[in-house]
Amino acid sequence: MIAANVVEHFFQNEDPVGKTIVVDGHTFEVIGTLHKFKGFLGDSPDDRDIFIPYWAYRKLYPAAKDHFVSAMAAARTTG
Amino acid sequence: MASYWQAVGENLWLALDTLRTHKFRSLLTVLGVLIGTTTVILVASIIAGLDHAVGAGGRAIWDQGGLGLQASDGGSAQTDARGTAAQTLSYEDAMAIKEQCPAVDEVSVAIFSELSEFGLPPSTARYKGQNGGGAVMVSSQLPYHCQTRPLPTGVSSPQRTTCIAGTSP
Repeated sequence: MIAANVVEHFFQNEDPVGKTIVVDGHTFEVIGTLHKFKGFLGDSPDDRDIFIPYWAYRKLYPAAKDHFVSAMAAARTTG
Repeated sequence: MASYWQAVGENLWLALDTLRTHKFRSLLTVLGVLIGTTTVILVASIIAGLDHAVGAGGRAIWDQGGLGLQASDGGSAQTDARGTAAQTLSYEDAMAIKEQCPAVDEVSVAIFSELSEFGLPPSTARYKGQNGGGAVMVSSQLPYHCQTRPLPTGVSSPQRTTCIAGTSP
């Protein structure tokens, strides 16, 4: 998955889905794109992200170890 | 009554005459009022915008019952406020939260550290010989505020465990 600025940078005149990009020498197929983030002061740095599978990242970059864990509560109705 | 209107007229002429004879001073006065008013409006707008942006971001997370924890799963020892060794988090901890906490619906594991922190060069992306580079971040799941475009027919949904591998350009 690639964010909006990556789409603009590499795929100005073509559909990115199905194309392959090379990230640090490793080839990934683009399976989707993200909308532009709504930053208060112009572009958001999140617009430059590239998403790849978690375990692929761990395999490619074993030095990165700081995890951020977020949990979302399930919606519950009472009564 | 006539003398009243005569006085008003004289004062008006006097004011206009002063404006005419001191054009630059008048210009500076108007400029000062304009700059002052613009500054007040600008500052008020920025404060209102920041308040809205921060509030919307917080609401987006808390409306969904979001909770964030961050810790390293290795490396240098850390202590918390009580002076005891801080617990560290890993992918397995996140999965344990998901399995053992009935109130939790979704769990996301992300790695936000930039590779440059580990002495490695920043990631680069390339397509058809065109380069782009930037810091690398990882996430096991798209952030809550992401809105994805619908995938084309025939393309499967992305795996639940995805991550941010790099930034570009």
